[in-house]
Amino acid sequence: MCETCGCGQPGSQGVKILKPGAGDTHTHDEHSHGHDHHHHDHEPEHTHTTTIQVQEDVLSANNLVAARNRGYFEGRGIFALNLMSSPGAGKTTLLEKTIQDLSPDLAWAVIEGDQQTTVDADRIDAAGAAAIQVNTGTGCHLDARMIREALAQLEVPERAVLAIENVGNLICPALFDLGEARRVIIVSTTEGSDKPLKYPTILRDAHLCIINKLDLLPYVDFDLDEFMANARRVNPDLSFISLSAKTGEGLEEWYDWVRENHRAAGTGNVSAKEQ
Amino acid sequence: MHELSIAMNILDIVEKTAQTNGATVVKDIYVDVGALAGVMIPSLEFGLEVAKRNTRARLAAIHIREIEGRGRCPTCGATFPMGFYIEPCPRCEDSYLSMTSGNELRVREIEVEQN
Repeated sequence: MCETCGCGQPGSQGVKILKPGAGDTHTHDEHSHGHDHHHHDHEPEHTHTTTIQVQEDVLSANNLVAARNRGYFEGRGIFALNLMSSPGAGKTTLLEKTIQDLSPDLAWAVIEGDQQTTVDADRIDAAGAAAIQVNTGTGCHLDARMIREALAQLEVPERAVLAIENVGNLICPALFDLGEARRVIIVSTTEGSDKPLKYPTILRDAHLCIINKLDLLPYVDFDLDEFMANARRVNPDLSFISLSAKTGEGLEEWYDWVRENHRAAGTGNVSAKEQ
Repeated sequence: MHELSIAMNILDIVEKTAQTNGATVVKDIYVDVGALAGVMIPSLEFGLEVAKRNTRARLAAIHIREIEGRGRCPTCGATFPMGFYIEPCPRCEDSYLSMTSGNELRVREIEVEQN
């Protein structure tokens, strides 16, 4: 519920958009509905019940804003990535390393989604990329409108790579298109090989699956082949890159993937997500 | 719990539709949810109860219809129930079914009181 004006309506309530180190500033954006009253020029004499055919996709409002974001990215040659994983899979560490290694050849901007704190945006800021933090409050995922609002404050240079680090969650971000060109799922070897079958929705529309913490493989029961076979059962077109953000093993393959997709974004050849 | 966001989107659509049609009270909301749409119906029902407060639909009854997952085999043309996103054709076994229903997430209709 909206706690600012007390109207009890859904908006992006509780969502805060913060620059690194910015602490806690309050924002309250406008609701999509009006607070207007209807004035009738006649006194109602009776009421009657009517059925209205609606047939509207529940996610259409989000998809519309996502399409707008996508057009903005395409127009500016920005390669936008939606990075999704469970908490602790190593999204921020991989991003830090990637930004350090690929700058200054590639300009980077990062939108960090977390429920609270600017810790991640501060880390990315220190790594040398423009960053902005979206605190979702109690929210469990980013949506297209939060991205649009963040873009208004984050100066994303033309031809940049924009990494959107979603809230750590393997379930909720799946249904919300943000306007990205590519969806990347990061799992780590400390998670089970059965995860693709347990959380299939998020893999269904993904383009790339990164298997992180390869350095821990000798110490855990993770079966790489079994994981990939399970993931392909959900999404036969999924690509995989195994790496360790800590030791650097496999990073070059990931960097090539980023460079290749960034090049394609500049020529308008990165196909948008088909709805 | 993305079902709460989904519920808020549903109420936005309901409010907008009711307002456009000059309705003061929404009595019933009919929603279609596909079995493979990635939405838990009990959580969505809970979310809708919260989201409808202080709206024209605060007293509305919620009717959620679950739509069965079904897929058509591109090779033999037969259709079968689908319980998962990717399933081989049970008849010819060498093609994957392409989903024909089960991914729905839409407000079907609302019943309103008009003056």
